Amino acid sequence: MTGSNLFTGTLDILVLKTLRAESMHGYAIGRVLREGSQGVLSVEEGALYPALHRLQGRGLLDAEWGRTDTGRRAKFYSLTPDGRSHLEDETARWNAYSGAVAAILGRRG
Amino acid sequence: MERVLRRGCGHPGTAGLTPMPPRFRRTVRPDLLGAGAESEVREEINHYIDLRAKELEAEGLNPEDARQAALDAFGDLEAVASRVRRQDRKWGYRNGWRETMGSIRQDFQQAFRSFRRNPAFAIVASLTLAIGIGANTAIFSVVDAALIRGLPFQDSGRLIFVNG
Repeated sequence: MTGSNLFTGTLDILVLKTLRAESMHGYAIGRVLREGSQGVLSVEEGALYPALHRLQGRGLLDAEWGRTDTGRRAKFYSLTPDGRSHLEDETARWNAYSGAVAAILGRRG
Repeated sequence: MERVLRRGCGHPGTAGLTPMPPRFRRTVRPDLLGAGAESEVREEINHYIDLRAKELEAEGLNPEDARQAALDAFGDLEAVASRVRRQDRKWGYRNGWRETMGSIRQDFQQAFRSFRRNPAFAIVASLTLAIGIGANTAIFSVVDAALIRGLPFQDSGRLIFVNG
């Protein structure tokens, strides 16, 4: 895959955002990220899993084993209240940051 | 890396990490014995690879190429698995309780469903337990009264048996 690498911590925010509406298992999260970024953000697909387990460990995600539509056992992740507020904080921070960079890059001369 | 990938494509239907024999996957719950994180990480990753391969297959790749492409895109399986385990170890004390309770609840649900599907088995199982517990209780009561408890006299240890 080509594309620029993710800035540190970006994957965490994107995962949290993906889980905002409903709980999902790892594959579904990965597919949303892949399709949502249209290949611009490249990430070794496996990198998703250490991130998920880290977020779970920090208490930002909950995980529970359940069954998929096809009856297969899978681990479903969902946002905790902490995860939700972390997502809001980080989104605001990211917007401020990218706005500042864009303002400078966009300057003429 | 090479080794992992070759192992992966050698067995269609499984990902590169060796899965537990399917018969035992849910019967034996190693996670309750402490080794569970291991097999659950494996199960999670295998799930991803399987679904990703299916997706690529739907896009027109043949099954073997699809699996290989899924493995390639995933990266080094063993490295990912060991990074996940490192995270689990680091944060383990927080996750263990909740996940264990979730697993136990699932086990109870499954047991309940299988009893409903097969009432004869449920009856035989409960009878076995009932008879076993009953017999043990009965024998213990006898042994307790005859051998363990002292005789109902003061200083019963000093009683002697005179024969003649």
